[in-house]
Amino acid sequence: VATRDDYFFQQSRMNSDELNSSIAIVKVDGKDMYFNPGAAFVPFGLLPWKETGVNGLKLNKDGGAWIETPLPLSADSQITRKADFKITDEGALEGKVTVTYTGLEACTRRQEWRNQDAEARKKYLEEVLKDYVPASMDVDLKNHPDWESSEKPLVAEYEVKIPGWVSSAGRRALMPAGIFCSTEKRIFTHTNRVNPVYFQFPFRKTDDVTVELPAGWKIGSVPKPEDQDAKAAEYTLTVEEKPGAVHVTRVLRFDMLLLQKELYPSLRNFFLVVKSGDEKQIVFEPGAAAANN
Amino acid sequence: MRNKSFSNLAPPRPIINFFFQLPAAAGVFLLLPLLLALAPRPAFAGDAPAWMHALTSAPLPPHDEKTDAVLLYSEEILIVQPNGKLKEIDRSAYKILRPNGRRYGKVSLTFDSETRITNIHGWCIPAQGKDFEVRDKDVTEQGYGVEDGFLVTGYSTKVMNIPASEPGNVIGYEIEHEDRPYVLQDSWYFQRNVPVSEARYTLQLPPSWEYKIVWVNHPEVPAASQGVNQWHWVIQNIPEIKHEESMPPWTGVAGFMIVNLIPPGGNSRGFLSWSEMGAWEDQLIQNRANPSLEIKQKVAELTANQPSSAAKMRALAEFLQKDIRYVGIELGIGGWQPHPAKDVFTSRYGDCKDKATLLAAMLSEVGIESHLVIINTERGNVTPSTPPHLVFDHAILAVKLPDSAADPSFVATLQHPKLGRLLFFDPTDELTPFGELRGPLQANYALLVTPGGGELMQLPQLSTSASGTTRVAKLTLDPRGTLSGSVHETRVGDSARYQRMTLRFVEKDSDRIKPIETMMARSMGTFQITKATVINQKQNSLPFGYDWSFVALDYGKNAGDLLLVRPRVIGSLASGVLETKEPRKYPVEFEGPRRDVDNFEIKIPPGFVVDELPPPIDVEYSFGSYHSKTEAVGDTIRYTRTAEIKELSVPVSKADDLKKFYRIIATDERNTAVLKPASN
Repeated sequence: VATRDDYFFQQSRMNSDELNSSIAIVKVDGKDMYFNPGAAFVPFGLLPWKETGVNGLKLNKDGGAWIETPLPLSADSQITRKADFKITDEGALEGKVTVTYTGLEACTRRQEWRNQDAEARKKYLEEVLKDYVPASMDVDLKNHPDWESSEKPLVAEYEVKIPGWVSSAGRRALMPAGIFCSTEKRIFTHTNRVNPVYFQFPFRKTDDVTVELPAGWKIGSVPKPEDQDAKAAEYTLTVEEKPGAVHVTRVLRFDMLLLQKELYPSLRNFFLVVKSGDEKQIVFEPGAAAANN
Repeated sequence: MRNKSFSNLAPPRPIINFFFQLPAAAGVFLLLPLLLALAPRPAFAGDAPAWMHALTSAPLPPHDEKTDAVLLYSEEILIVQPNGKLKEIDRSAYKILRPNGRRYGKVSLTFDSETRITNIHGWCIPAQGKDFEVRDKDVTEQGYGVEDGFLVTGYSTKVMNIPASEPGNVIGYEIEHEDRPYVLQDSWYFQRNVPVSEARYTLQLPPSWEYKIVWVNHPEVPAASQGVNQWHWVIQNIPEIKHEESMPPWTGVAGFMIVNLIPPGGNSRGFLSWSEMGAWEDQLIQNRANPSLEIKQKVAELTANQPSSAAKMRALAEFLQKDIRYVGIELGIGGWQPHPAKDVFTSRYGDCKDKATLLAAMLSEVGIESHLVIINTERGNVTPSTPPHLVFDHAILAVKLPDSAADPSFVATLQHPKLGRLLFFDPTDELTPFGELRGPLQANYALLVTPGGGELMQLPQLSTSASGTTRVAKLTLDPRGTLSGSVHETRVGDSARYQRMTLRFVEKDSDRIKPIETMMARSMGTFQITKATVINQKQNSLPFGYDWSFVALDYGKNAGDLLLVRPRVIGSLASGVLETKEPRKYPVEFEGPRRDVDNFEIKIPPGFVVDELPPPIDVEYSFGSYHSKTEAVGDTIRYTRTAEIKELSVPVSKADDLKKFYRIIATDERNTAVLKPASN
């Protein structure tokens, strides 16, 4: 097969050097399955991202036949962030966060960090979590993630404190609905685009965040649900009132690889809606125990 | 060691580029001096020498789990010959502890044409198996090129890759070279960015020679005599210098020793005082600033229509900034000696000292005296207690202002007790106008070269108002939360310089507004810039600015019947520099003083009134201040804030205050005003 990390293969060029990798096709229950036994940490049924959705020459006695490797779905490669926070008297969010990487999300991280030691991997995972949140924060990785497996998800468990996340507005306290939204906040900032936009593989991010309120606090209002379904991409944000808590569910699904620059405005608009949704505020009424600065 | 942007002052001696390396270990070396007395012993084919094998079972120095490697042993032996030539032997051995420690297996040595490398060898002693050896023939050599800021240079770098530089293994090298230095002075950098078990320096002098030692950032260590005219210094268990964001530069914190070599007769050829170093540089620049006929004609042309001495100086400075390209040519003493002004003028290019020299020549033609100032582009490399040595990497000019030059824009000035009012100007910096000085050079210590001597002096620190960004916005919010209006942004000093640098090679108008787009995108979701203009991009002497208009959908957030709006609409001044797990060890350095001001007015939609406003913030520290206020004025919310950085170095004792300072700013930037229906 011709990997798509450096170039896009074109049969018409007749350049056999571009067929730079080999995979195995195995018939399983009458169905072709694709494997690269030389690639570490790739879960069963998947290929390394650069070998997905590419052309290859399947060898046979007749000189071979062109095939195309399957492209995984966004559901195959997920980042799930589950958080249980409390609001402190100083307006900080404090609690536990568990981040789970599956499919190619786990595979690429395991491959990239395979030659590093536990200390470097710990620092990496802590920096990654900091990078998800658009505020300074204290992060401590508490578990020993499984860096060696191909099949098991890569799971990182943290203790986290985000100082000043809840801001005061007189009698009220406010909190943005999106917490792990920094990546989307930073991308596609410019109006114009010169080149197509290229993603390595489809992905899905799911956030499941519960924020427990201090005693005496009430929920003033929560944002209306967001549901931006653009077929190849989808963003939903739901904030639910629970007894003494709010529960935020955020899903960002992305099922595309390459987008021509002519469609860039639509892509940018999609992410502007994401940013805008993430910035929506949850209003609390602290009562006697007011959040302060 | 070398600032690629401005560097053109040569390193004094061959430099083993170890500052990026990490070692760590302690204790081993009671036996080692004896072993070293036998060294260098020829290694068996492929075998590491005995001094390295002696280290493999040595205990490591104190280190933590994040330490990539430890320097088990480093040794520098300097043998001075009667003719002033030097022979130096360097030995080092690291134990690699972590995967990131592999980089210590790449050893490089920068040298010039006055250096002859006579031996270069490296070894690896694996935890298991046979030793590896790197011989002379395995070492590659590479030159400096345009990408390093040079057109022509006499410098080269030997690069040695030691195999199997893996965790658990011990690697080491031995390099011998002979030098003919311009200055009889050596620097021993014993502290590294990894822990060091033992560092040793040996000095061997010819009869009747003397030496003088100065210690920097480290208590004095007594010399031990080792035979006739031979001394050594040994330091054990040296802690590492760990990198911190915005920390002082390396030579401002790391311990090292300066050795001045004094031949018989007492003529040091090193620098026992700054005046001596100034005299050395003064001798190098003699007659270099003599103006040629062509220079005189150009000066006459440039100043003919200028009405004042200030205008004449500005015209000549702009010529140097715009018409003389920065190109580094360093051969031999050329690292420290400028080319003649006439050559620089004819070729229309030169490095920093060439440009300063040509400007000096041109200024002299209009009767204005000036002096070369050599400086390090990172403040903190030189302090009042720094001994004179070749620590500088840049040259600028001190212009003696005539009494008639009372221009208020000349702010980078100070009163010198003998020379009068001096203005400091960097002709290499093409974006800072004559009269100003960019932040890293402010309050920096530099050597003012005067006829027959010189002095170390501190350059002026400008007021906070000389640099910063002011934004004034007139905005309107509609009931659906759409925010629209215009912003006028003005930048002065380093803030203007930075923005001009960003746009320097931008050709399309659509790309010129990208900095605004980026800043806006960090502050809000759905927005569109409807109009934008860049102001004074090329006119360096005027404030840089942007004028733009925008529409931002959903800026105001509906929450029930309330409308929530963040008064700090755009721009962020908060920083996470101190949001680290580990306690701060070194001061926090700022590039320069600055003042940033925001003044945003948001007209609230009809049918809404202000219900709640964020509290005012008033914070004053010695290093900085922050004042913000949100108020309702009629149907408008007015947000004003002023942030100042007043001190350029915040000591560790105030790190918690600085952290608190930034957290207060971050909180203020997130604060929200609440609007409610007028009927409620």
